[in-house]
Amino acid sequence: MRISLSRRATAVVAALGLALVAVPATAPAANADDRACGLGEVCSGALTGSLGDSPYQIVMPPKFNGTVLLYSHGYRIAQPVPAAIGTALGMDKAPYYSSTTVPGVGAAFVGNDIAQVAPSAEVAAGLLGQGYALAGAGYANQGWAVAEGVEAGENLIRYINGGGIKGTKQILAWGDSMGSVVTQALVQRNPGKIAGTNPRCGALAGPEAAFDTAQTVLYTWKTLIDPTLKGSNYSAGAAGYAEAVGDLAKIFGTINAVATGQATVSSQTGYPIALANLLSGLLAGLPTVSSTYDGVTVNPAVATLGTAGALAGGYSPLSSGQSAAAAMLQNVAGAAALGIMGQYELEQRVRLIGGLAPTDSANFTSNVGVNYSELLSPEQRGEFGDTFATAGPGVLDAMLAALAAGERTPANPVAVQIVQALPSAQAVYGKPMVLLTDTYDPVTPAGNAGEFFDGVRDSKKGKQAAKRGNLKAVSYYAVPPADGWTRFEEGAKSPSGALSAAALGGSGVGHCAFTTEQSVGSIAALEALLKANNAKKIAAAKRVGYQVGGINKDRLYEPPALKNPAATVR
Amino acid sequence: MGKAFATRAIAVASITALGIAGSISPASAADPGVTNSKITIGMTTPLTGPAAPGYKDIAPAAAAYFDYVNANGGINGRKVDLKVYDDAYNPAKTKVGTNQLINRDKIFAMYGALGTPTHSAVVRDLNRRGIPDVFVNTGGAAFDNARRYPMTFPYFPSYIVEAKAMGYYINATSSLKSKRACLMYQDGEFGDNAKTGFKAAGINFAEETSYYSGQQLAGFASQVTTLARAQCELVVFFGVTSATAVLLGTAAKAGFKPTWMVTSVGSDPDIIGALAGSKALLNDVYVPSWIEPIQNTKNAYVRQMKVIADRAKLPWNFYTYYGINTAYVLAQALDSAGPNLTRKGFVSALEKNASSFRSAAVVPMRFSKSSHQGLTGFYMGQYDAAGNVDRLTNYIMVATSSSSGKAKKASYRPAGPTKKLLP
Repeated sequence: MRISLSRRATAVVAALGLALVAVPATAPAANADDRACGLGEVCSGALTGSLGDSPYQIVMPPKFNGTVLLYSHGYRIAQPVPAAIGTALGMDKAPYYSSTTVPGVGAAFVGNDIAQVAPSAEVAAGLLGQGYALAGAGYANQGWAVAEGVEAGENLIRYINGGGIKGTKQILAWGDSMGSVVTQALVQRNPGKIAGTNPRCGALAGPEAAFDTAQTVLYTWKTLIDPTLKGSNYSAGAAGYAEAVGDLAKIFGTINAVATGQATVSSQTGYPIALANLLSGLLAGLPTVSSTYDGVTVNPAVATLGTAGALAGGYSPLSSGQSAAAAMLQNVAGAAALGIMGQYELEQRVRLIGGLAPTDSANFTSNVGVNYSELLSPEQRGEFGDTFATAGPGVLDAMLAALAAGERTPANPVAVQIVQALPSAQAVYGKPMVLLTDTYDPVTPAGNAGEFFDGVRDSKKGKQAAKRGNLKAVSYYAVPPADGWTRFEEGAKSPSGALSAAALGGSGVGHCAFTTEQSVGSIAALEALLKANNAKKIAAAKRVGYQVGGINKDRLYEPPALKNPAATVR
Repeated sequence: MGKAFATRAIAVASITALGIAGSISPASAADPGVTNSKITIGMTTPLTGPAAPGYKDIAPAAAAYFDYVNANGGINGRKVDLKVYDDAYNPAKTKVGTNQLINRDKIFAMYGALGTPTHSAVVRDLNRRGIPDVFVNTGGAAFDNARRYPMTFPYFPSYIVEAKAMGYYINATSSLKSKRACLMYQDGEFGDNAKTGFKAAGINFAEETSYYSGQQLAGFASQVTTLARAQCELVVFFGVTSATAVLLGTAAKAGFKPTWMVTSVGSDPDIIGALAGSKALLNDVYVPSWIEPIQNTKNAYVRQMKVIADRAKLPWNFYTYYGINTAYVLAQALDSAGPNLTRKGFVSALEKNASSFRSAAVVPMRFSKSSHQGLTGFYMGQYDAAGNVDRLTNYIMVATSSSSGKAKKASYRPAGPTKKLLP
């Protein structure tokens, strides 16, 4: 069913809760070329929407196979991140972050709106080599900009179908992280225009689940490590930005102090920082491996010095528990900016949409009544009980008791309603879908994909298709090397991040960490699924992805379920 | 020959029936790890690393028993193929190994997976996949949970049961009850289970101290000082064998000589002898046990198991004995599931027939749909200077892994072994 622009605009605006403003009903392209993008060309421009202008880019292959891949990019932090932290997170090298200067903060990086047609130049090259046309839009605003992403995608589809790319036979949508939510929302709203989707490393359970994860970490930090953290319910405007940046700086500073051996125990609470942080990650369901720490490898010094000698010499890690604690520091550091600045941004967005007074809470996450002990599964307790015991008898129980007794932060029901009304991915079966997920993703844990796929498969149409063997949906998981990837410089006290990352090979650990082969292979699997017209061919199409290096060979693999704090409230 | 024919006939009949019904419900052929000639079983256990001493002998012992069974016709015509993965007692490695056993080796069941932290890392996945997970080598009480882990079957009694049995014996023995009792435990699940059991048993300790796993490398001087200062006359120690060796050695050097009571899993005489220089440190130490003493070669189980160990040129120690013993029980369980072996049928056989399985255990085994407790109690023993356990009680003390309820005195007379110790 075709929806007119004015109706789409109304729908998006209504979803955002914004007052409907006058939008040109037929404004497909403010600066769009009025000619088709030629073979081998890179074309760009901007498309006007009700939520603002969005730049687009189209990259044409030398020989077009008729399929356009519409890419939706992931979350870009909307507020300036101090340069020291941004550089540590690689923002200085990312074209979609721009340098800026903020009074009182100094140099910083902030997400921009440039269009992205693929997650990397290598993946783009691989797909162009196969004849795909690549298209992607920037979003009118940054942050949790799913609505803007959907509008930008719809405008771009219209532009493509209106002659922007000649010879288009079909459009496939794909996207990373928050972009996977945009991707699924796009196909839900435009099933006649998108033939299939490839959501990757997606926050498919939506913003509430994503920020619940972050809030579990932040509440644990606030209770066990640094009570001065705010974590949520940031003030309106500049004051709230200062609070959020302050939180981010505190967490980075603390993790850095632990990593460099300058701090081990919180001066404010007396709890061991690394173990409190490990607990925060376990409660949130974050992975216990990172790009440097595989959990399996111990420092080679153990072989020469023995465990006691290596311990005395300050070598690490010496056990899987130590490795997990170090990995969790790395994982929380990597996710903190998204969690904190994301919470702040979405609260500000809620303020704008809901017209909240500056004194109103814009918090959309609640931890009132959450039973944190229940979030630590018996299996996690069994696996890491000995690790926590290294801090002394009863430390784990004491930390859990502190979490139980800590001050809770209620949500504003209005804010919750606004967040729940934002465009989201619905777990229903419609168009062919290939999910690609990292087994160990510290930002959007793999349970997002697992639960979304289960929902699609178990939906009414999904069940019917599965019964006939015709379910054109598959969920691939990128896996790391089975025998570990932690590497050491000779005689080093701790692992080398660079050597370990190289050994990891960019597969399975991290947020949206996929090899080029995995990215291109997923698109190939989606193409094969689209062409398959019987159960046998559908099964063969799914094998296309399973044959790619670093994709799970275990068809029965299921990631750990997402942690659900709300489910522990009695 | 006749048996093999029967198996094939049943398989053909099953396939035919399925074809008629148009169903894809599981048949024997659908369950991984079972063919007409072979049953593949997996095990994760430390063969290397700090936890390997002692434990590394379990897998070769089990393999030796299965070799013996295979040489005598196998189980319902099938040979048992035991695949062992060395996880070095590292949970991350256990995950890797378990994945290999499931996906590469296509195991029918997991057997004898060793360790609480290690097995905690995989137990949910094994249960989710419907893979039988039998005779877990840990007393961690968390695994005794048929509702959460319907495929998991512990073997030896949980640490909670052990603490309850110790508590019962202390209360029932005036020479111990009158002593000033203290507790030292390993922090974490091990110690938590101990404290739960002693609390249920009504034992109050005058002093409690602890250590964390690995701390034995640095020695227990401060703990011994704490116990000595508290004038402890009976020290109950809930820790692993390497820690027991350090504790007893440190106490002996310090001239601290209380009456000691240690756990069944934490006092292997050979390891203590190797680590502390002499098994004699164990002399007069109380230890609960659930199995016929290893030195009692007049016992038919012990005698026949030793023959199997000797033929395989294995060291005759507790772990070898234990490995052969659990392999023997597993063989009976597989046999009782019948020739049409399925995972569902195997679990059902465990839940229905466990009380009929023979073994060197001298306490009853309890499996049902609602309880996967395994062995249910202990007798009290005492080490001599040579490291042998003398049985002190002719009764046994039985209990559950519940956080409440004391151990009860009971009697149990185990049946003798099957012919030639074959299933």
